[in-house]
Amino acid sequence: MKTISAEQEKEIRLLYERYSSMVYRRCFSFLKSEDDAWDAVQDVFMKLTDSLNSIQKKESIYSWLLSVSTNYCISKLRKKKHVEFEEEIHSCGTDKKLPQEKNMVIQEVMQHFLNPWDKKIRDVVLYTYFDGYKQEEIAEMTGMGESTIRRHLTTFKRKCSQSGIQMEDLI
Amino acid sequence: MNRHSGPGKYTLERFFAGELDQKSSAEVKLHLETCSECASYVKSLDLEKAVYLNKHPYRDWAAVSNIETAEISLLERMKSWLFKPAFYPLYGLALVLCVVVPFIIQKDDPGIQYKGNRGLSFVYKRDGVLHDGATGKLFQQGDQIQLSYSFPDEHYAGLLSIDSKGTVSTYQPVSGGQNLTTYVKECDNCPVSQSIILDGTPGGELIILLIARKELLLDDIRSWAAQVSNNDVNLSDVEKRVRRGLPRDVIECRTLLLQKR
Repeated sequence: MKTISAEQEKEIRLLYERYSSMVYRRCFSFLKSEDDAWDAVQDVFMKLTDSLNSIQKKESIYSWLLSVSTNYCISKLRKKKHVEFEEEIHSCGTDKKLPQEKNMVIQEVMQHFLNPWDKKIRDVVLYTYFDGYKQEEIAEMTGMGESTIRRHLTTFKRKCSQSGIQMEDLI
Repeated sequence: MNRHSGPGKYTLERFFAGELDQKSSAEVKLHLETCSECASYVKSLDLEKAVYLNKHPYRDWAAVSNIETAEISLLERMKSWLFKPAFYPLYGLALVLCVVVPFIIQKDDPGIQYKGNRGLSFVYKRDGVLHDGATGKLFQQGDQIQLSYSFPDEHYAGLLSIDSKGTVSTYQPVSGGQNLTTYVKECDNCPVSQSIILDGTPGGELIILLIARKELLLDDIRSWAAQVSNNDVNLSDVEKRVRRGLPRDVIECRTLLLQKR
């Protein structure tokens, strides 16, 4: 049992109501299970409750939540050794399909980056191909320069190429 | 939406969460009016939010996460209320009212007006009874004023007074001598060697203690006093002139303005 003050409770409630659906959507996209996504939301918001005071005001809560939810989902997938991705990637219960090539890239990402030998590259690749964020947005949320992001993506493409996947056709 | 020149997905999601600053938010709003793709994405986020929160409201999360809201005791609630920074100026004012004002009231007795340096205290004798000067009222003819003061170094001290008619009275250590002052090695709340007996002149009496590095000649001080007095009935103005133009060799001047019946 974790006890929080009424003031904290008010703040957490506000953040939960503002962000939880987006966290859920993302976790569901990773984990492919409503129950697992709900577990992920619980875990991520518990972490938020614990870290609320240490998160700097200037930092975007959303980018923090994305980062924590990524770590959670990757860790969860690693534990389950569940790296298969279905053809369809559901989006919070809707049947929104992602392009085939994107799905393949994600699969490639998961195979190559499941062991977080370079978390920064992993995050850049996921934000780019999984979330569909622009490089300038990734730069804003991660604090990396756009040139660094491009370099990480080049590294990733090279690895894909070495694995026999033609990135040029996919992106 | 990621391929056009407008906001990206991340920006739209931050817009939806209310994280963007006013300017960026206004830009996104403007963009949404013209871009159906982005507008549709934001709408889908809104719809998903409604569905999700209906299925997993906050209370469910709090329940499964074992979150409990602490009951705050009345004392703690009062503490957090009382220590709000908004009240700090009020506390400052209260401090001034409680500490500084009583101090001023105590010193500024209605019958006695202290002006300038406060290093001059006194007692007075009336009808054979000694009274503390700080508690005196209006003074009257015959009251005998005994001053005392402190000064850390050796010096010469001279006493004089000016009444409401501009009459200057000097108090010499040796009657008929040329000097006004007495040599004092150093003193800590020691009495002035002469006391003052008030006459019947109505109005006020400005008492002046001059502390000098040399002997002060009686004639010099008398002419200086006549000049600053200038037959002015307003002793407060006289006092200002005393302070503005001290005689030569005077280090310090302490004054006391008494009101007489």
